[in-house]
Amino acid sequence: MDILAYTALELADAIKSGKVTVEEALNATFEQIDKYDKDINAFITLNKAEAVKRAKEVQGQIKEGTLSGKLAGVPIAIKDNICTKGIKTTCASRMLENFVPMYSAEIVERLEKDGAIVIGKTNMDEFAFGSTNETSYYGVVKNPMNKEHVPGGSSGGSAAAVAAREAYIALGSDTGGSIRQPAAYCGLVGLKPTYGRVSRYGLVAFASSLDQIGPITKDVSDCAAIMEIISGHDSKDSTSSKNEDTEYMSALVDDVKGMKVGIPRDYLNSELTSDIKNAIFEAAKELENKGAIIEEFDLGLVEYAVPVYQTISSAEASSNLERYDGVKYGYRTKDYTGLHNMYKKTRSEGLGKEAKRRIMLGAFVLSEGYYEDYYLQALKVKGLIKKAFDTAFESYDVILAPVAPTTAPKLGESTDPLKMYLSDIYTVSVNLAGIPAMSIPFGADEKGLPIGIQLIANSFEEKKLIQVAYTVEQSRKGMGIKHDEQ
Amino acid sequence: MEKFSYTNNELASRCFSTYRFAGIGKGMVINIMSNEVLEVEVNEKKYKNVISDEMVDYVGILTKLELTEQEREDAKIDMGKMLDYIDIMKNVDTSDAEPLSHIYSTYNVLRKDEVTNSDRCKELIKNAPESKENMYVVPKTF
Repeated sequence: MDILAYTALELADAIKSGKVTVEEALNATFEQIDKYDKDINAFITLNKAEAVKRAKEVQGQIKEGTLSGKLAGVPIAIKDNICTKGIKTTCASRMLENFVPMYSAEIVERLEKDGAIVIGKTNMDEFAFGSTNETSYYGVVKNPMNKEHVPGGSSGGSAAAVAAREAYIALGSDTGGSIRQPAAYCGLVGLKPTYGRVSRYGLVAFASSLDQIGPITKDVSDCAAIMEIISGHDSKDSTSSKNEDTEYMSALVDDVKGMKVGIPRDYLNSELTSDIKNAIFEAAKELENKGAIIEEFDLGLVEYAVPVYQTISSAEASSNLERYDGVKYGYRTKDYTGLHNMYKKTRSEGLGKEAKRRIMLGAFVLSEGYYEDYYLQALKVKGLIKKAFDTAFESYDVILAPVAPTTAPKLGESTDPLKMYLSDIYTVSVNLAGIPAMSIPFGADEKGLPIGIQLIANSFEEKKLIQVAYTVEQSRKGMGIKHDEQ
Repeated sequence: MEKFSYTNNELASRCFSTYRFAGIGKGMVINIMSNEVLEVEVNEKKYKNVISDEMVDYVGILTKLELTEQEREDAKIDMGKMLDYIDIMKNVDTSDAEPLSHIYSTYNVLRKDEVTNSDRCKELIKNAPESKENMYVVPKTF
């Protein structure tokens, strides 16, 4: 079997059984990157020398029997807003073009302890502001499934890397859909965990009350495996949850008998392309055949999700990005006349257009005289949106919904910011409510662009997501999109 | 065909929600997502929120950004559009709602006031744009 075609778990098994070596997998991965990444541009930084060193270590430890991690020896890519000790972490911005963290994020340490091998940092929208990976200081990323189209964002590089077989598994971050949407656009599985499920220590903050790190994988089993490794309490993240229900691989069960699945009627309006609407109903049919009970219902407040999200996320972003001032790290402007001039020039030169747009809106909605009408109002509506989901989960185990209104748009076509923000409509309310959601591939449209469907569950019920997702995946075995060499 | 009325921005925002009747006007519009042509009525008045020069200056001070002339003009239009759009939040009746800041019932997460880090001064200073020994070099702050 082509070594690059393995899933992460299949590779880990092959390595443990001696069928392939860690070095073979790593070399094949770097060869693939050499061949295709000049075009795809999924990676900003490669960690080749260190990875080769680590591969030798891991191979030795596996042979000795001292390392038996689930993903030991598997090459993994990390989104460039997650700190990796000694590896440049840029957030795809000029502001951090020379920033090398002196510590690794908690999830990176957990993965390395498990034996996974970090091969590089993936491209993204600058500071995670975007849905198409076209705002990066390091250039756009192309969708490996059709290179005239975007891979999605902001974890576009992570999704493109896995889809182009330049990594077996990747980590991204999701504030308003940034894992789920690129996973859908590239035909992969993406999971945004419950807020507090995965430690944010080492994740460069965008919106601290919405951000979560999560996996982008080739299949549901890989997703469950990596979730077991990265989930769990971390004392260094005070928003991290002490909930210990993390045995996600036990949920890889091909059965949904008696589970109630709700489809929000207010998501299925005329703007949703018919290919995607049909995918939702086909998925519902397959779940019904396996014993699930399907029902349509009214979620409510759907048209307010994006304004509330834009208000809150911009406000938090403007606050979180205040730290980029050229004083202690990162970019500093060359010529300046005094402290305040240095601040202004550094920030104006270091930050991109979309970053500035969000910061300005955020500062505005938090300013005196506007705070009540905008930010406070948004927080109140956010409470109502959470309540709407609470009510829904009294009747349903999971909610089945679209991920995005269309499949991946063409590169260069998303020039209207407002239109781009609106395409997040199905993903943002999940972040606002702090609940988990997963995107799974479900066929392709007539142009061959992948379609993803979204499963949403209540807080800390990722197991239900995995069970339903696995069931759908098993019922479609052999019908998946082939991520072949392009 | 039904008739609908919007400002330019409301029309954009209605793309993903049920169409609502809101006023009177005349014209043809293409639904941005489905390419469906609709007979709608569009208000002449473009932006309800007009951003003044003073407001852009104020935001520039808050955010410590120095904008070029073109960026200022773009910012006025962008912010105006965004504010018009997020204004629809005002339509929600929040008289009984509490602002939800943190998802879970917040309580203070505390730890003992003990030093557990080692001294990593040398590593930290490596990232400094300008440094001298173990100090960051910055412009005069007073």
